[in-house]
Amino acid sequence: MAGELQQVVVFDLSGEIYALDIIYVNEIIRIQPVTPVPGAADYIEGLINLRGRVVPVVDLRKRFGLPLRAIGERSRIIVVQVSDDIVGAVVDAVSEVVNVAPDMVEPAAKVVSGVDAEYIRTIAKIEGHLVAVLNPDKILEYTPTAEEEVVLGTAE
Amino acid sequence: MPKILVVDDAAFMRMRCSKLLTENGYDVVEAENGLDAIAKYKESKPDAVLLDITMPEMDGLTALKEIRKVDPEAKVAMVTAMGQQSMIMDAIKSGAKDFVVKPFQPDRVLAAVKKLVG
Amino acid sequence: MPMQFDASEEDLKVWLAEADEQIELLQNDVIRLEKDYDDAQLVAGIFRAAHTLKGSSAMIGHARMAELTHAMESVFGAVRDGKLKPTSDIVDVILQGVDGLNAFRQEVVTKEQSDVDLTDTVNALHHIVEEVGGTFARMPGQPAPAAAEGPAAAPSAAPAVAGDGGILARLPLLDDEREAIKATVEAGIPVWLVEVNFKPDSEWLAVRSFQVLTDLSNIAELLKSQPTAEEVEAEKVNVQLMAVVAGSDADKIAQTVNSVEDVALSRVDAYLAAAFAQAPAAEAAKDLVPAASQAPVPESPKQLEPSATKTPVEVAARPPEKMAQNVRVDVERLDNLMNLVGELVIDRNRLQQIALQLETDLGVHDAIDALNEAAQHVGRITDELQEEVMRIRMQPIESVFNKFPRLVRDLARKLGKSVDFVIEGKETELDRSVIEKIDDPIIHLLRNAVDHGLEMPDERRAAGKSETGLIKLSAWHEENHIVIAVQDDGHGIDPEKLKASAVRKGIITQEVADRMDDRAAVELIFAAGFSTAAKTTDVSGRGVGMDIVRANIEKLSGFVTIETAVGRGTRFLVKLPLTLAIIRALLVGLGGQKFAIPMATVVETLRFEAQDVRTIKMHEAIQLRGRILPLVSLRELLRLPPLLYPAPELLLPAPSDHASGSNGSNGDGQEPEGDQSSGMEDMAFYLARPRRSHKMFVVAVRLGDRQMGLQVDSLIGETEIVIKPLSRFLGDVRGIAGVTILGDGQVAIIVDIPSLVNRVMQEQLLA
Repeated sequence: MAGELQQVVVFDLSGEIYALDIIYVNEIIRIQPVTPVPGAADYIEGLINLRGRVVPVVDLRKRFGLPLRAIGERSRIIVVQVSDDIVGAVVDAVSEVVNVAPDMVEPAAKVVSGVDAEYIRTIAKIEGHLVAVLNPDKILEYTPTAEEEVVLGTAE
Repeated sequence: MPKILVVDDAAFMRMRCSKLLTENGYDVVEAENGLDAIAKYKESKPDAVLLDITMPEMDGLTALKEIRKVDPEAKVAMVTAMGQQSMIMDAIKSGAKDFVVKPFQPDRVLAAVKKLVG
Repeated sequence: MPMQFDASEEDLKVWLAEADEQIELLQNDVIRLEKDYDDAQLVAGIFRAAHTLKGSSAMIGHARMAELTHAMESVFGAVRDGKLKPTSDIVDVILQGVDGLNAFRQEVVTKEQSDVDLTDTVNALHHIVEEVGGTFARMPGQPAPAAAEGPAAAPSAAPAVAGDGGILARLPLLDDEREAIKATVEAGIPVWLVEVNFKPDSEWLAVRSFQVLTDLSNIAELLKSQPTAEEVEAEKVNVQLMAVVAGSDADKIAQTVNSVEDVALSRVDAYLAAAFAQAPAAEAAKDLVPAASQAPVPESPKQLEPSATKTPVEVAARPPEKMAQNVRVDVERLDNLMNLVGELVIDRNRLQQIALQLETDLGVHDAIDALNEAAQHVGRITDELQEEVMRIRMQPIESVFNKFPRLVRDLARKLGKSVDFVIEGKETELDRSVIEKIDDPIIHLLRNAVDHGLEMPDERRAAGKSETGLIKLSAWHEENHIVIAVQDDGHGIDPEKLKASAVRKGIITQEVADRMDDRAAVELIFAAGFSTAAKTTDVSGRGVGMDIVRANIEKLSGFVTIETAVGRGTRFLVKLPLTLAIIRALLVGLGGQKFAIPMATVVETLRFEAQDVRTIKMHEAIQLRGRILPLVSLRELLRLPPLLYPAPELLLPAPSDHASGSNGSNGDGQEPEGDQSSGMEDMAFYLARPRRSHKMFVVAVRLGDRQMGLQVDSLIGETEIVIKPLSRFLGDVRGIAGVTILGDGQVAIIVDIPSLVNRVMQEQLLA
């Protein structure tokens, strides 16, 4: 990571600023109706049809345990892709794309904000603020629900 | 008594082959390379030829073509030690009727000769 | 350790394809040796496969494989010569060898030497052969068992006019070739079908084939051959050569062919006019009974070559080659094609919906008519395309079934049981997508049948049965489904024992057990954590119960039922859709959201008045044609959370009248009008049930051999959907079979009703 200029998408989650490396961001789309998936984890908002591809939408605020805000005018879905997996992430607003110089990046500290450290890849200093750059792998990682753990257990 | 031309550069092989054929009622003429074979063919007009492929002076394939030029009806079986199927197919294309694999199996040689002559 | 082989990558591909064929043959046929060791054709085929593998593995320099196949070949040779009776123990060793072949084959793929060590197996194989005295030498004058196969005709006699089903079945002609032959025959020139079998151990197959073709060309016109002259020159040859020639006569052709060294057997048939109506190769190959004009080549009595001991008939017994006119297509491409067709199906649905929408909004208009027409045309073509692609993807279930004889055999031996395993209907075709997924459930049912279904031999004897149990695996088509049955003639399932066991395991209470009828009791076998055997064997144990089997089958939009009779046996019937790529589904509405229910589980759609609902034993039910249909709400089953987002609006008003009452059982005239609250809202529709209507929409679904009514908010209609998997990200969400995109672009969830209902029922059983 050192030595390279990093481009990140900066966005707002429950009033806090976060960022995501732009190479993982396919596009940013407006909020659209989702098809809820009964029985899925609560942070899964549902499914959208993205030009013929069915893409799950996750609410990062729920995933990170942040206070919820109503969907507003500025709410967006950031479409994140890691290898073949695509997930949409609901955010409260997308503010900008900025360049981050290598010397402005530090490894994640233990606690930055309300978000678990495992979701954060680095801390970047952007316009005087410390911003958590999220780990896309973690966002796309699937965590079994309690009920599934039971089912998987019996299947062993 | 059918006459057979045995062409081989290895004397031991020629000897074994001649003996086998003679014992089974054939007349044998020997040649030790391709050029020699052509000369002997013209000279003795054999009923069939056992022709080794790998020989000095002139190899068996060339000799075969030359012999067939002399006598388009020439009945030739090739003798080979190698697993070169393509070479034998070439020989068949050039008019060889059969082939025999070294080391000789006496029955096989006799069968081949019998077929050529018959 | 890296390995190097003496062949180019391209050649290795050919090698692998051929090796796979031989290994598969060995896999399938070796286990038949125990019983059918005197089937000359079977043994000859096995021997030849080992022999071919020996030659080809030596050719690429795979010494261990050559050594193993050599040892196997010796054993098969001894069996063929009637010296060795392949006992189960011997077959065990041979099967170790077959497993080893697979490992060695894999080495050719990975170019890495595996740590598989077959020295012991090879030694054991050698030992087996030594025990019966030597290897290949056959006693002079003592015919191999194969010789009894058929009367060997005199060399040059009886040349022509055999059944044309013979050679032609293995030498498919192209249309233009057939035309050319027809023209030749019509011109009065005789046409002959020539089949030449070389001694399988001939080391000069290419040259011998070349000689045959050259000699044939010298006396007649060569119209076609297999292999072709080019293939022969490239040394792509077989122990069998077939040709179609014009001119000359049968005797002369036979004589010419037979004069070539290493020809073991030849056959010359007249090309009959009737053969112009050439049957499909596969059909014709079925009645392959040569023999009529087989002309064994007289072997020189003095021949000393080892090949002299091969019997000509063995060569004649070569199984028909698989040689349909096929184009090989990469499976990935086929899947891709299916996906594209799937997209097209979605767009077709969408087009039709747009046309309908326009008509509704704008009324009659020429342009709309034209659009409608175009939409319909696209629809028709899409249907045809879809059907065609489906057909291409259909494969016989054979590839799956062929693995099972070994499985059943090994299992039975391990358990000390004696089993006759019968397979029926292996030619039954179904889509790749299903084939890939049915292994596991069938393996389970088979294991279950051997392990739990069949009794031990002494038990069977005591019960007056044959000590050998019967397990039958069969497949057949039923409408748009495939049915796979696993049947045993064991002790059957005793409902009382099952109940007792379920109570003991805490799966049901004694009270529930007492109320339970036999059929429900038998179904307990599918309850979570249930296993009928008192102890878990290492065979079918491993914790995976019949509940998982059922869940997996239902995930494929199929279902499984049991028929059993105590003392007589059990039959499991698995019914699956022919394809998983595109299925018919019933769309239903819950609130603003549409859900798709696979038609495989739908029996009918019904419309009731809320007041028709009865409460029977605490459960809601309706009466339908004199029987009770238990009701459950889809909302409850799905535990729908409140909607946070604006629900997608329905483009069309739910055409409930159109979709409901498909069999006219609406109970017309029974329901008085009026808004009578029946107190149902609390229980059945805890969310968003439209109050102004008390109509109830019910989908009767099939669950095993029972039915259940599923309450939904609205019935939308039947449509074709393309199943897309649920994103990995969501994990394995229970009760969801996949997702699909509807004609209006909405994403719809495909619900897995049986799994949802099973969960509820299990909870109720425990309650």
